[in-house]
Amino acid sequence: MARTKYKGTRKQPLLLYLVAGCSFMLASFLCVDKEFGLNITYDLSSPFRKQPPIKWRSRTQAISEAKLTRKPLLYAVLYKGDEFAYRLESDGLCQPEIYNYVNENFIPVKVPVSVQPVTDESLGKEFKGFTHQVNMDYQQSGLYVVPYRLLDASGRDIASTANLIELGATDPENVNPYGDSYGQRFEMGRSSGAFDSLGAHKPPLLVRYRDKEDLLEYLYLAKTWHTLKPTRGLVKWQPSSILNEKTSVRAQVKPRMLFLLADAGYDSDYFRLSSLHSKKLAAIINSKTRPVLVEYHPYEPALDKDIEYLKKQYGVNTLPAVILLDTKDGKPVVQRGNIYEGSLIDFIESGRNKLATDSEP
Amino acid sequence: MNRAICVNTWRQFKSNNVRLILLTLLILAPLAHFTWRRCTYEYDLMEDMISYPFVASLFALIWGVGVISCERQHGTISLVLARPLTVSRYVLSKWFAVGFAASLCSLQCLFVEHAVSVILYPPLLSNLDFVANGLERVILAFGTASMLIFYSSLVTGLKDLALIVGTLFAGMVGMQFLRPILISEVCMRGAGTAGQQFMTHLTNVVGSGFAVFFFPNIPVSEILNGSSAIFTSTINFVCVVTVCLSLAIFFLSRKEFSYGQD
Repeated sequence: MARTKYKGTRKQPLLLYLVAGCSFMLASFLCVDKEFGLNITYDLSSPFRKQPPIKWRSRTQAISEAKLTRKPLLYAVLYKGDEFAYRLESDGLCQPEIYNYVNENFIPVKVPVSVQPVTDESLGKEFKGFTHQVNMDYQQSGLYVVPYRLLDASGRDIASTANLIELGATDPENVNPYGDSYGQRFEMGRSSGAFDSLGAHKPPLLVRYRDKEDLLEYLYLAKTWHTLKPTRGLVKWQPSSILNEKTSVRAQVKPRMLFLLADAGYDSDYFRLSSLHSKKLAAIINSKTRPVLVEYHPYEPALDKDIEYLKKQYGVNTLPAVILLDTKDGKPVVQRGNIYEGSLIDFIESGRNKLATDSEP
Repeated sequence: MNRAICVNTWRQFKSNNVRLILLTLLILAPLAHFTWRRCTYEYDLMEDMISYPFVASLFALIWGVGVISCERQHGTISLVLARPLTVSRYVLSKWFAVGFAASLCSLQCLFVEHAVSVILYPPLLSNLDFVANGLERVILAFGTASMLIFYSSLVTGLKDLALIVGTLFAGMVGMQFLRPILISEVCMRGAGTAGQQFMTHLTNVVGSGFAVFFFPNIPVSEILNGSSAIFTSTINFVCVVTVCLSLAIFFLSRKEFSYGQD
């Protein structure tokens, strides 16, 4: 009688049980530690992913090169396992137009991140102060731009909103100094909830990649924005020569008002947007005073040698500051610190009582 | 696989009018919806209107509810297992029969939807989204089929449907209870106590497991767009399929089958 291979109805499939057990343990582990799954996917797919032909520099090398070539730094923060980082690296940056543009106009620095939370120590010695500069409070892959003249600046100062208006990216008639930052257009999906307050204080960044055109537009803006002069608003500025005019001339015309502003930095940018772009305030300033603007360069102090005496003369330590000259008693009135539209109008109105050109009540 | 068991499963389905009506409705409902949209919104004519891959789960549900439990109730499983056939082959054949049938139906549905879109707007012929959609449907159909086979091996009759609904309902109720903890933890951005953080993590893990079990899918379209979920989702899918089938075989092997319910 021929033997059959059949060994009974209840024969157990041991191989299936083994696969089930192994996959269950692995799946449980991946469920508990999601980062592990993402990291291992990244590592396993590395040999098959395209690598962009970008000439990456170390941070130290990039900083010294930026000072010489006057090109902005482009940090590519790439989290292991992050979908955006995958697409940005293997698709976006691999496009010939993109990597040629990056190599030509930026000094690119790659920042691979695999450990959470991100600290300067976990990134290495050369990244000291980096997390503060780009405000890496939570996981976020992205491109961050740091202009060559703001290499030592904080992220808050780099996010100079004023330049946006000149670039035409924001409607100057409807400016929200808290909400409009250069990077906000590119921060899709991050403009709600607990992250609102961070959004406006981040340096120019790209945190979502949709297509090549989107990336090119960002890179163009990133290359251009910091080279433009900060906005001067709607005020009709007088030449600085009137600061030296004679006393006899002063009595005949409107009093002078001196504005001391920085060319970069959050406080001065906020003042430019909130005050100098206000139609109401500009009308008051233009009709009642002769405004003069003096711009300082806090990150390039060598340029301020000739105008540094003004700060000492009026006792100004922090910018912005507004000084009402030509008062009755000859003492200028100074407004410092947090200046905004309402406070400046009050300052001008209250200061009028002290102006030498006003008639006696 | 055993061809006879597969064919028998499909024949049983054919003899059930309720299932046939549900199947027809499931094919026609998206078509009716898309037709209505095309008549209402002009711009929708230029879109490739195909339903979500999730419909494959519904097709699997129609095909797979009671696929083993009904045979246990009627006693036909004893007749089948009286043949030289192992329980594991029986279960695998049932799984294949349900998965294949659900895939076929959902793919047929997809092709009809895509064909209508292409006829109305020929440039959509080059749209490859439907290929990824089709792949996801097949994956989802076989994944859901394994889950249904597991439930079906536990009970008799159509009680497996009640079990599925009960589990989903219990999960929803549980999430409602845990929601206050999760919301407070999210508001504090991870600054809660160790207990709260543990609870949040535990809830996330349980929630993920729940989602993976009831929606065993590999997101092909997302992976093609650069998503890094390929490793995790593949492991999860393999886990659901093998564990469900293993448990079904294990439970069925330990049961004594009579030739008919008393």
